[in-house]
Amino acid sequence: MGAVVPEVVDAVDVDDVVARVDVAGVVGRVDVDGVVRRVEINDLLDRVDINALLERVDVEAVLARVDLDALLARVDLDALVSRVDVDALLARVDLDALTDRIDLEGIVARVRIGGIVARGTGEVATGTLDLFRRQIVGIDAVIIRVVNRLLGRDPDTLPEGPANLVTPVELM
Amino acid sequence: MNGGRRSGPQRSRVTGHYAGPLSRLLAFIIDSVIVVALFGIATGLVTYVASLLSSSRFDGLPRGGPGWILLFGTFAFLYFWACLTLAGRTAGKAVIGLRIVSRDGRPLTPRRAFVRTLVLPISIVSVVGLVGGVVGRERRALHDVAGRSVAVFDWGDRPAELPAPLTRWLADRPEAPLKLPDTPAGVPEGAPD
Repeated sequence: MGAVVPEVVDAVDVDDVVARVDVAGVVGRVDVDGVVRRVEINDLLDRVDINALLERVDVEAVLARVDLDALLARVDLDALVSRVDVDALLARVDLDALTDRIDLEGIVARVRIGGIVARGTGEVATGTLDLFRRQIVGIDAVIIRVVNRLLGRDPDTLPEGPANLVTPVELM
Repeated sequence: MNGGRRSGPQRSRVTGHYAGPLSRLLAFIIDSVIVVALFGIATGLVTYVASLLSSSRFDGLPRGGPGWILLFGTFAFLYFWACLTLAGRTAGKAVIGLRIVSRDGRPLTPRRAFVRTLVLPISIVSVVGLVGGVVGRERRALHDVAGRSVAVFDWGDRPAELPAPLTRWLADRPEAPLKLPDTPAGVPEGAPD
């Protein structure tokens, strides 16, 4: 028997046998769900060396295939920012060190504080002077009004000033 | 209300209008103070420098003499004449916001400024010469008549204005001496008068 088997095996054309097998039919009869249920995924994963797997991945090639613009377009930045604890973030910032790095003297030199102060002082001075002048002009107007009334003049018949200095209607 | 602004006349512009008597009086007072101060400084400096350069004590002109009066008069004349010729106004007029021009509004010529300045003391001493500055149609005093000039309001690059309350008060009276705008203006409410 032991000597016959090898001869039988040699006589069988395996390729012919396989060609006759209806693989699709065999697969169709397999209960794949049942097979999967019988597989212990955790045991399988424990046997996988993730690090070795990742080392074989070409990250640059993967990233090159990612459309970052489309990805970012799907990100809700408002929602993301609203989840940021700004207070906690600022608490971690060393403001003293930050201000030490700022060239305050350079900023002050560029701002030209002197010019701003001078301009502001000038505006205050002219404003005060005009305020004083307006009161004088007002008193003058009253005096002229009284004089015209005493003399029985009609103000509309009197010239206001030299013709080429006085416009017909002056608005403020 | 419209953004803190309101409609209605606020301030009437009087740039180029004949100046009134109070403005002119105040300008003259300021000029007088300036002339006296400048004369004092100038004579003090001259006397000091002369005393440094001379071997003997420099006493200058006798006090109370006609020499000082003539010197002061000349100094004041030069001040008024030079200022009117060069700028159309003295320092006092610049502070108050006045300008001296010819009757047609053109700048005063040196010759007319000269005559005006020459007659100015006569107007002041006579007092009567100043009456025209109050009651005249163009408010011209004697020296204005002599120099064919008039004094007008001129605040330089800013418009000369009446106070807002007075503008509103005059606007309600048809006999107002200064013609007022009859259309709304846009001066912020609460602006200084």
